[in-house]
Amino acid sequence: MRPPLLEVLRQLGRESLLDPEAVSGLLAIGDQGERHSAPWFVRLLVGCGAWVASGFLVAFLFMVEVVPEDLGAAFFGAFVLVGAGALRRSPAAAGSDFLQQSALAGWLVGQLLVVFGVGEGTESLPVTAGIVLVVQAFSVAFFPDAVARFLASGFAVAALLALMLHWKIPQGDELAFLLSAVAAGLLWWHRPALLSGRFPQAVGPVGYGLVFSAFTLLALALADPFELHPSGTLSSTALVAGVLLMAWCLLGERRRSGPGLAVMGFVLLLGLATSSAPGVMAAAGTLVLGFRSGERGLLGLAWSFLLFFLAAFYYNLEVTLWEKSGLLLASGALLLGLRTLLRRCR
Amino acid sequence: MCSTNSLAWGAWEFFRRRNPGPLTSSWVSRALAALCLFYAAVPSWMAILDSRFEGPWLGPVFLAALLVAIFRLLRPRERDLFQPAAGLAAAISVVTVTASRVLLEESETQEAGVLLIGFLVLAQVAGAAAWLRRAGRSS
Repeated sequence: MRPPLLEVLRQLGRESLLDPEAVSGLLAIGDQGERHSAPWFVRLLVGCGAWVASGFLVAFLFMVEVVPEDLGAAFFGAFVLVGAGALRRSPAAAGSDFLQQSALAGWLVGQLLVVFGVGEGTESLPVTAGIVLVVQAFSVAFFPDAVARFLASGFAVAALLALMLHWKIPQGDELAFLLSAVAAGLLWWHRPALLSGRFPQAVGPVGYGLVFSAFTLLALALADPFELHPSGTLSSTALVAGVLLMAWCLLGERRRSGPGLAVMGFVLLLGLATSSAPGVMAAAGTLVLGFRSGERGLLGLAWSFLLFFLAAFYYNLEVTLWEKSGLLLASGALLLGLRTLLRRCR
Repeated sequence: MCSTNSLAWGAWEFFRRRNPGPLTSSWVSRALAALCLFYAAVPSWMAILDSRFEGPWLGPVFLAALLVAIFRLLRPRERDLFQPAAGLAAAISVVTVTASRVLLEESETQEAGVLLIGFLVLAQVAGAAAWLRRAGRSS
């Protein structure tokens, strides 16, 4: 696995191989992120708490009938959103978990009010979804909260899916999945360049949000009640092509060597074998991105979904249990053989 | 289910301390702790919400015992912050369910109750996050 980016920067700075000013600037951004970041389960607890609290606050607003109806609710929600953004950006919130929580809950309440108001006022799904997309873009840019940015990515993908389904675009659910998967892939692939851009703190949360949304769409396809089918031939083919392209770029000059060809052949074989379950290939692609960027969280997400999709794939195979056990044995033997071959070639 | 998972978790922690070599994975301990807390929290909610509940209050008793185990028995140096976070989440859920029952069923002004529960959740989660961050920094 590649070392984390900040470690590489520190080492390059120590060896005077990079401009010291640029290194210290980038390290300051990274250190700030590390100092403010909490473990994932603490962030999950905070996010769930904000969701529940915002639900109660919305219920209260409707019970006391202070929220105007239709578009009035949307304007009221917009004010709440701006207020929450101002609170989150205030210096007082920087060191206060309570104010950060309040701002996040306010942000969620504002979002709900805007969606409800625009939806009721216009009775148009495209307009509502378009407003949702605009609000998410502003949230990612101007609401400096990792949980909010993660959720905003998910809301944006949901709005995109709603638009595709509303306009009855052929294979719209597959297109929505592919757009989120391609955006996630490009974001993680170009992460070093994006970290020196205008919104370095947004790169990680948005990247995780897009990956999680793409996996969620594929997982929803396994549940019949949603009638979503983002896991068709288009998705499978595009995912195999994407992983092959990543392998091609990563292998560099070793493309035509024995191990390079073995890796490409294995990707192709895996893609063919799991064409009915593109989640496996999506998880494999995320693993490649995780190893490339040295991001342990991304690797954890990829392993979790890989296990989930592999289990679903074997469960849904229309063969007997005896044949399934044989297939599992053969898959294990193939992977072990490939590992031995790659170690020997190295 | 709670007692079975608690036994498995206790056995894992016991053998991990005696011979940590092959039992270094923190995920087994995390999964067992989360399962124990889940199986203690759900009967606790049911006991609080169901007014006709007459059975023994095993859920709250198990939950209290698990919280004592997480915060008192596990040594801070060996303690992974996941277990306290999961314990706090379970405790927050039980406190919120209790407050909801009291404020929404037995209060005359439901609006004020709903507002109070919202702020109660915010305060609990903010307190838990602040404590977990401080504990993380100190370790």
